[in-house]
Amino acid sequence: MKYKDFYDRFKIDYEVVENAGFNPYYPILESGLDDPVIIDGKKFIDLASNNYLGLANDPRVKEAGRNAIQKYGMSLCATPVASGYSELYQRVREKLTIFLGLESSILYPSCYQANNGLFNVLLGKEDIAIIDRSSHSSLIEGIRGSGCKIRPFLHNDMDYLEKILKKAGKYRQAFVITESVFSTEGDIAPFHEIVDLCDNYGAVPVVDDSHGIGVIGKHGKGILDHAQIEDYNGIYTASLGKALANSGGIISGKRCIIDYLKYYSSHLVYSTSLIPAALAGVEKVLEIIQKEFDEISSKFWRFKNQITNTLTNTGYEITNSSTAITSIRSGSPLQTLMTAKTFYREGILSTPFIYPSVQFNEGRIRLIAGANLSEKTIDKVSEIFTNLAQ
Amino acid sequence: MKTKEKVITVLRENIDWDGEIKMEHHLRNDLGIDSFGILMTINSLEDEYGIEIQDADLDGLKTVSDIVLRLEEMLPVQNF
Ligand SMILES: Cc1ncc(COP(=O)(O)O)c(C=O)c1O
Repeated sequence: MKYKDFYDRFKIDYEVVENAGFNPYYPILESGLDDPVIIDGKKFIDLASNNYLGLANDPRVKEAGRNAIQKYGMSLCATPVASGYSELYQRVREKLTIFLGLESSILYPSCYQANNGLFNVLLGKEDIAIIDRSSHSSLIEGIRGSGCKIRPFLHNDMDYLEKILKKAGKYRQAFVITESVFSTEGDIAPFHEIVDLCDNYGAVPVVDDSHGIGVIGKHGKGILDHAQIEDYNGIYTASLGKALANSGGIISGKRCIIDYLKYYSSHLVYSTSLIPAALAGVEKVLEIIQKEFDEISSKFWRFKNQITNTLTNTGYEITNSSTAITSIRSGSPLQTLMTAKTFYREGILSTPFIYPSVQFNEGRIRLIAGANLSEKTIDKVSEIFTNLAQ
Repeated sequence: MKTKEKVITVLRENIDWDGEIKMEHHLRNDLGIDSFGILMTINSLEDEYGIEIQDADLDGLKTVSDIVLRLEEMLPVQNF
């Protein structure tokens, strides 16, 4: 029977989950990002979300969201090109542009959508996308959708990148694409060098700063701040759903590109606008970052260092992370889920990564301690990890 | 350098694998190579030999030996 054949093709392989006796995916939260969060009626320490600055449940941010709902309602029920574009949208767009120090920006419902929507507008089969092999799925799917030539380079390997750039002259345009902070490892791309190489070879750099914005750089402005890049000639994208504690995705860069996307990017033009509450939330978070970044960042750094030191001292193998992420090399998919299960049993919510999120037969467990957690909570985390090692 | 040796050298430059590489090794299951790893290896071989292998052709490459055979099919015959 035809229907049966079709539906029979979609069988999920649960083997590793069954062997581990634990499925860490799609946990059902019964609270917001509090300290603790509640799952299945039990208290958990949230080391899983990307709530770096701890602002997702901040009273000031929630109030900004509530006020926006009062004024605009839940949604404008239209795409930005139609009637979904408000003065609030316009203002947040401008504030983000100034925050980043770029010419112009546009906001998509998510960064996944932004990354997917970007490349199929700007690249065609005459072009080449040179991409760090560890880049996020949204970038990879984005360039695949554009039909261009794809050449991955070894992770953060500038010699390899230059070798490809040297041969890219036959294409109409070369693009060099990378994440700023690699989300499973916590390492940072040598972005200044990438931009210099792009300048030398006439390539356009594209950086996804989803895990950098609000986290790295002297002023928390992300990769351009961190790498001290002024007059950036490339394209910048980031999620507004991590440190910025709301949702949405931004693309920033030269005004002509942003204006072009406004009319030609189908992922933007044909998708309902970001909701007012999220826009107002981002606006408030920007204000808080500008006033309080030093204080907030010293807190999440302290937490990160404490967790990393405890894990190292108790024999875990940690990646070389230079940001607020602590990532454990956790072995095979089964070992990874077993470790995450142990943490879960002790009341710690973590993010385990197995293939295809990381390379085949490798595993990582990512821990991010947001600045909303208390010192006491982090001491408890240290105690749990120490006890587990004994 | 023979095609076999060349493929192994290029593979080593493109993947994170210090162990032995045998012709019968499965690219993913034995050597842990993902689709980008295969693409990078093929791209480097293209540069090396000055040929172009269409991306659509990559799907059938399962083992190290598949890469060698695919290359040998594409390279001009060198001796009789
Ligand atoms: C590097 C990176 N880019 C893009 C995204 C997608 O962003 P969003 O959640 O806004 O769609 C994520 C994760 O969510 C990410 O980690």
